[in-house]
Amino acid sequence: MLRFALKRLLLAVPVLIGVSLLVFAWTRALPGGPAQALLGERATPAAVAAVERNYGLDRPILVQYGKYMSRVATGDLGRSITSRRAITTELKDRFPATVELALSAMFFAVAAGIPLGVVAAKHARKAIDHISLVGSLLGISMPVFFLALILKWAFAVKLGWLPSIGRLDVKLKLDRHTNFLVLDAIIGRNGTALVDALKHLVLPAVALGTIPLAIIARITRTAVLEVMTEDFVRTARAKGMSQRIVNRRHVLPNALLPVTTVIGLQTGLLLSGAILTETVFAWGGMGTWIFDAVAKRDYAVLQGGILFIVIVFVIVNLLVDIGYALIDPRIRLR
Amino acid sequence: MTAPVPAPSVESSGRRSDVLLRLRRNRGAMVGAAIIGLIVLAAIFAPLIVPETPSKTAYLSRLDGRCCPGSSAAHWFGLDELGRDVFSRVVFGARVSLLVAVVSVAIGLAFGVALGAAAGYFGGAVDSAIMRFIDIMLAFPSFLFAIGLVALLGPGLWQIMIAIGVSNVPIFARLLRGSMLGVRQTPYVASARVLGLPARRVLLVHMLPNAISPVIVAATLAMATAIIETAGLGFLGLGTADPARPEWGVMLANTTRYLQTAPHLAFFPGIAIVITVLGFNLLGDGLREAIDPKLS
Amino acid sequence: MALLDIEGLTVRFRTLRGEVHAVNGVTLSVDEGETVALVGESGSGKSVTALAVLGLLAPTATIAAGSIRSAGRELVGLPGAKMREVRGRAISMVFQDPMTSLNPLMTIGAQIREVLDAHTDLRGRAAKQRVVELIEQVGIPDAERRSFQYPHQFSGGMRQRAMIAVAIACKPRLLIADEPTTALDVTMQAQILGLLASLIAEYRMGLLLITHDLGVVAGTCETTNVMYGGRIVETGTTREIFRSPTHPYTRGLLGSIPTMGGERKVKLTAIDGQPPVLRSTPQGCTFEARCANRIERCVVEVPSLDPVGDDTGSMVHAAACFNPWPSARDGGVA
Repeated sequence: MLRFALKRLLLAVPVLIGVSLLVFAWTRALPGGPAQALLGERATPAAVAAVERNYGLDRPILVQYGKYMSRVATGDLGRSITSRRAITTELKDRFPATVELALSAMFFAVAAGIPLGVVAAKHARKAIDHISLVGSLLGISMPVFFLALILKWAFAVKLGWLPSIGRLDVKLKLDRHTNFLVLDAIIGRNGTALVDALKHLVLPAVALGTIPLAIIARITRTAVLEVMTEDFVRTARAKGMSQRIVNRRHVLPNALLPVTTVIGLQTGLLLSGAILTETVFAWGGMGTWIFDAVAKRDYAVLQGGILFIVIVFVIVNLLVDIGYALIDPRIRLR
Repeated sequence: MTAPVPAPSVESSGRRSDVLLRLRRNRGAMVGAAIIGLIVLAAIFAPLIVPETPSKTAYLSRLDGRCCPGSSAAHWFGLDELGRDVFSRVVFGARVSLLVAVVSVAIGLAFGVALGAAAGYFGGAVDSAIMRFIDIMLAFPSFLFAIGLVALLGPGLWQIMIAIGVSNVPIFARLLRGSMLGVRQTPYVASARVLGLPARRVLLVHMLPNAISPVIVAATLAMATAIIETAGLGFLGLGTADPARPEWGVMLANTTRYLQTAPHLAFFPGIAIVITVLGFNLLGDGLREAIDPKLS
Repeated sequence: MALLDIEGLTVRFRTLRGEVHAVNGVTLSVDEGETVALVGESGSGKSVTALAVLGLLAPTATIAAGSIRSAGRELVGLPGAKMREVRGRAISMVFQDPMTSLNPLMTIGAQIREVLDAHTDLRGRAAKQRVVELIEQVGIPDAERRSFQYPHQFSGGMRQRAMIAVAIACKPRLLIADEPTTALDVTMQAQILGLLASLIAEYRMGLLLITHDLGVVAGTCETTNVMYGGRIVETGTTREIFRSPTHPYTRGLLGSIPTMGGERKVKLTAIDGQPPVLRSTPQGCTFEARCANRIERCVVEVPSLDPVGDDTGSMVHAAACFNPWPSARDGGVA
């Protein structure tokens, strides 16, 4: 088992190196450059050259890469040109925001998706099943930002039940230890802040989580139906156990295997979707931060931010792989 | 060993006539095909359907400084903040979306199939090298990858098509490679090689046709994704700014602040996206069922 | 009272292309301690018959007619809860493919434990002990350690032994084995059959063995029923049937077995044609289309099982044929 994890880890390393190189080269290849973006209208060739020399941007790429990586190794990710804050500081602010959103969305998708899928499988080919199939098809056909807009319009603008932007009411005070607002509110025993943070979380999480929910529900349905036809389910019935026990002990665990893989695969969707959702709800996470940095050619932000996201993505996939091995004894014990 | 037919008959036949028959029977797929057909027709005959060109602005005359009138008899979908007829823009938007869908998937297929086929057929070192490359590309979520490429290439229709197309390449490559590897193991390919048939013949006549079915399904679904990604890029402001080529995502971009006063600005382009994508998803699903039916 | 008494069993399946008549009026019985074979090729309906006994048919199947009695109690139409008491306890089943018939996510020990949980009061350490005993009894060495392993860690033969352990856990009166050796190689076959034989002797169980392999029948079963097209076409002691098969189908089956001694130039008899998939109950004999012995009567009338030779009323050897081969009893050539 340990060997499996280590092997996976080792395989991830060259990918990470390749990725960091790619990101680095990409930031350098962007048209215009930070010097130009910084100077704006005052960007005469001489001024640009001066700025570039200042920031070490005129050295060969590999040299720049080397210097950057050595700095990363010491925990220095540079400084944002636009906000002048250290990248690491910005990450501490923004990363938890995106993660909180993504986790809530995933939680919603799984908690609602799996039961929906099971119910649909139980009543296969009947009304409930058809409705849920249409529902999930609609779910995956809807762009996340459109859904976000609809939800915002319906619940925030028209009905006014839920807040429409941000993570917390600006008038509320809350000590931010972790920047996971729900967690911070619990730690600080701040009831009002907790409720408020949760209220702000609902719409974005539902918007972001609906597509994964649709996918999870469908996969669960298919998996359950397929497992029901497996031979070992028949063997279980031949032992004289009730259908309910058979479902619980034999059908469900085996059906959840492909579902877990799918859940892992949703991470990519969540990350992309987060950018779009954050825009609609002015969420203040990684998405909008990186996006603005693209426009402003803020190299440090792009390098640090994207690198960070991709590393997280790779790690999450790694964890999912390992998690899958933990669940499936066929992989765990060879 | 078994009873004659213990359950609804599962004839997993790959023959084209059987596939087409099952497809025609599948109601969802037919609805999807109908939707796509309608959208394509609307796109082709757009100039004949709409009351005015999509880029015609009439800011002063129609708006009186207030935004934005909703549905009316003259303007079915209302007007946008520049006084343009939303209905015309939505219909013309179909052209852009369909164009991007087809071209980007074509690009993805072309390079993806070539890479995947090479990896699957040659195996060994070639396979490893290609797959390492693909793995690095897949380390990025595909939409983010597309954003990155558009940032590199600049905004514009062609850039978007290339960006989405390239982000599709690793998906098709991996799919085809897997399919090829599976087909390679089959007895009939082994016998073809043992008989000493030339490599190209084995590849084209025996391996490719059978490995291609999942790719057809993936291509249809990829078109659905391409339309959504195009809209996403447009929404983020990375789309084409050409007023003569309205794009649904771009139309949605500025609607956030008009949500209270003019929700129709967001509603109609959004619904257009949903319906079009739904069509492709329905068809793609139907194809998948027709090619490989399961007991569900 | 017979352990198992099937009379006139008729099973139909609903399919996309209409109804399939899988079993048509099958009658057979198994006494305590008796080993009975049900022989036939794929599509003859033998597995369906077996599954019908335990009520394990697919939902698309209906028992259109006939009765299945076990120790006097009618099983057809038995309510679910009562049927569950029978399964695994009074009547047990061993299935063909042990790889797919065992839950890949549960340990072998747990799967054996389930049967005990369902029908006995054994719990905790006592149950665990019994599990280990059973594993030993079926000839799997290192039983305790093995009980914690998963099916994929066992070899094919051992998996089948584990399945048998599951089946005999509650000491059933009747064991139904559906092609227990088909998925195994020849050496394994002999071992498994030997295991079955010893268990049957030890527990005084009745055995209904479903198979297409006459070689398996010869060494194991006292009584043989030959099935074709959903009907029993010949029945009798194994000895008699092998010695002088009278039904043309049985004859063809036996003639197609290559023998070790004997002349090399003897051609193997093959039976032309394919077994039918019956979409309706045919007018005449189901074998008629492929039969070398057929006469006009065979096309229009359904032959019933009639005693062979001049034994009046004794069903020791009976065949359903209007033009059977003469039996040795008649002084004919075997």
